[in-house]
Amino acid sequence: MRACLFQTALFVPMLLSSVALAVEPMGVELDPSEVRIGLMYGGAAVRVRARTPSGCDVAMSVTGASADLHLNKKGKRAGLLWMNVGELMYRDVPTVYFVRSSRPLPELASKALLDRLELGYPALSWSITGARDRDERAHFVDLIRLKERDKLFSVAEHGVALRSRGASSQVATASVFLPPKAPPGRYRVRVMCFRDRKLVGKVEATLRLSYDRNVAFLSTLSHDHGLLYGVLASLIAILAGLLTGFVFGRKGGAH
Amino acid sequence: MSFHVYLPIAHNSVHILLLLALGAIVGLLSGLFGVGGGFLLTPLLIMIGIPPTVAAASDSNQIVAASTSGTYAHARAGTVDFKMGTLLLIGGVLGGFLGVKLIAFLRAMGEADFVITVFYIVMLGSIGTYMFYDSIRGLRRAPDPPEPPEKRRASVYARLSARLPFQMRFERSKVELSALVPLVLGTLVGVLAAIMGVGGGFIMVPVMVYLLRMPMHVVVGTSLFQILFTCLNVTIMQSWINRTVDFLLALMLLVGSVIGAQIGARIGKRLKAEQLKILMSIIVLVVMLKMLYGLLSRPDILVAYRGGH
Repeated sequence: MRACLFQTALFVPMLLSSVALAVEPMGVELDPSEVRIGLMYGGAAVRVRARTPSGCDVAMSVTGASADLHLNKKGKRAGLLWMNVGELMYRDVPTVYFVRSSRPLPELASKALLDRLELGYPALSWSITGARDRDERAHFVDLIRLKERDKLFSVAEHGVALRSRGASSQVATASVFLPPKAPPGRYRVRVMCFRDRKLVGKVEATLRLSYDRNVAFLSTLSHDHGLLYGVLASLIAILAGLLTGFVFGRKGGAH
Repeated sequence: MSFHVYLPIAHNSVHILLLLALGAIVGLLSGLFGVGGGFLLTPLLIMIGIPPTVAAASDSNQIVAASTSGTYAHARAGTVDFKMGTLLLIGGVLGGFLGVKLIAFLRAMGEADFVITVFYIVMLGSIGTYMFYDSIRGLRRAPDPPEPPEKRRASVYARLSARLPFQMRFERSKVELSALVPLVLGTLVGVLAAIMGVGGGFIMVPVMVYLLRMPMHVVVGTSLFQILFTCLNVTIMQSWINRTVDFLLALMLLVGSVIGAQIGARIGKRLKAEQLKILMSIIVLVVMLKMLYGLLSRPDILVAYRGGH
């Protein structure tokens, strides 16, 4: 019921706003819209370009699929040694989470609206199941820092550039860098337009990240035929070692 | 053009030159001391963002190639004691099995991480300190040439081992002792290697030098022979059961290790046995101090992904 009321509350201003301004529909383009992971892949920059109504502030998000995340908790053992002292489990943690906005998020919308739209780390703590438990909540900041260290999470206020395009529309652009650790899959790209701290427009697109033929072959061989993969890896290593020994005829450390 | 290589099992991308350099370090150690280098390479790989389980397993795959090359060269030079190596290997396989069972028991009790880490520091600290002290003493006592093993004063250990059954002559090593000694010592090293998740070369080398009284030039070849089979077993088992061997990672490390081994072989020829032991002991102590510092200093982030020691 609450969700229904909320959606109605969101939808009505959006409708009124678009009717009043008579703007072109919002649109979004990704460059590239599909990224292939090859053997020389070192991450990829993706440019998000959106057409939005003129004069509104813009927030963009790129989110990967959600999954359970198991972590080890660090603490002191024997009052001296920093070691793993327990486990933490968070549910529904996105693999990737990037947010870019034209202004600081609290200036764009109310906290309740940001929470609903899952924009910003405080909002994320409400969408991740488990982050509200006492122990998990205490370590939520560490979870964010861990993901930021791997470049899988980032929030950049002022990360969206706005450029006017006529009287009724503007172009919003932002860049995100997909690090090599970002897993293959479909990423949800959202562009949201705010005016007077209310959502007045939203558009979505999908970014695809997939393996090329060579990487897919190695990954499938390892996961589906582990024994064969191990034997082949060992045989190649032995042959390479023999070849090296034969070519160089080295004596190693003998002296 | 990107100079990164994407590692499909590690799910990460690393600069090619960085991997070649790490491989070269391992090749250097392998050529100089007859150790696999896993005790050093695994922590280094973890530091550059490879998941711990993938780092340890792929490292084993690389060591298969490096130790094949080393064993082949030493076998041609006649510096592999196959008889001693086989007995140590049988003991090592048995010890590895016992070690895996012990780890499973400790994990069930929730104490595995603590025991493994403390074990690592104590082992590296004692071996490194003893080797360093003994080498310095050796250099002062007999700078040229080192005292032959036969003339050393018989210790309690030597007298006890002389009374054991199944005495046999190991021609290549020029020692005579009971077959039970390498079997039992191989088992102990296997247990330690399984607990610590490494090939065990850095424990095996001191064991061969100090407890089996083997000459250093035979120790290097025999250790490589034993490491080859240990790592072969680990590579296949890890690929099959845990799917953690990244072949591309191993291949990059291998190319680097070929270069490193050439440099290691040239340096090794210019150094005396005691100097080699001092170098080895310093490396062992540096790794130990790095681990100790990691344990005593507060981590920046108080959580870590699960999946390694």
